[in-house]
Amino acid sequence: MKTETINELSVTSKSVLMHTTRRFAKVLTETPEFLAFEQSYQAFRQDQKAQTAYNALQNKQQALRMMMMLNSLDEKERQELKDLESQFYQEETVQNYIQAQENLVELCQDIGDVLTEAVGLDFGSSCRIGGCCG
Amino acid sequence: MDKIMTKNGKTNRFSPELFAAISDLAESLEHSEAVLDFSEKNQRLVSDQNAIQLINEARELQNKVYAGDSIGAELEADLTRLHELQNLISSNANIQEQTTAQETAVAFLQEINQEISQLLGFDFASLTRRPGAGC
Repeated sequence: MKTETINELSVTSKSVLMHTTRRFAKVLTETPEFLAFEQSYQAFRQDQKAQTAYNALQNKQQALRMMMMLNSLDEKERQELKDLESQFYQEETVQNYIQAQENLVELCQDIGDVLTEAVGLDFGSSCRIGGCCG
Repeated sequence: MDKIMTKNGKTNRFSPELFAAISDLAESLEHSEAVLDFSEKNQRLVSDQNAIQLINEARELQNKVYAGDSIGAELEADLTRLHELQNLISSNANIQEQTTAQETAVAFLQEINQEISQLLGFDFASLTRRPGAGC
């Protein structure tokens, strides 16, 4: 059992822990996945056509939010939303951004699995606000 | 490139730098006071057959009551037993110590995540969650 071998030397000090934490975060920001995510986000933000499509979709969704919640959109409204969605998702910068985000998420999930195995608690769920079931 | 076997059985090729950083972080976390304490208390709880039995019985009874599977006198008996079990769980040292240790470990992991997230500019832990995982 782990406790039988615990001594002060085998416990990670706070300063070592903070150092390895910051080093990990820094290395993660240098990965191709993170850099591609940052670059694609900036490209999306600077793409006027994509931003216009995004705002149009957002505005329509906000205007129809209540009707969507009640599942009572008529055919015309449904089609308008569908058209705005397809206009948005067909923008190249949007597609690049989504793909980069998916790649980064996949990398983070694999990292999360390693951390979860090390600590014996689900890393992602434990860090939810309010705890695992919060 | 180094391989790490992930929980879902996949292997991921991390760059050597990332592999080293993840390994160091995982080892630091594993040997942190909060995680070591949780691991010890959890092991103690798992070895306590009586405690495990109490938890399982309470869980099963709770599900039965919430599902509406018992009515009338049976429901009354189930609720009485559930109350007894809750008292027994509250006074079981291994269960209480494991619960407290888990809360401390979770708070510690949240602190670590906050540190990482501040440097990344987004919530790191939320990206590590697999759909349907956790609670």
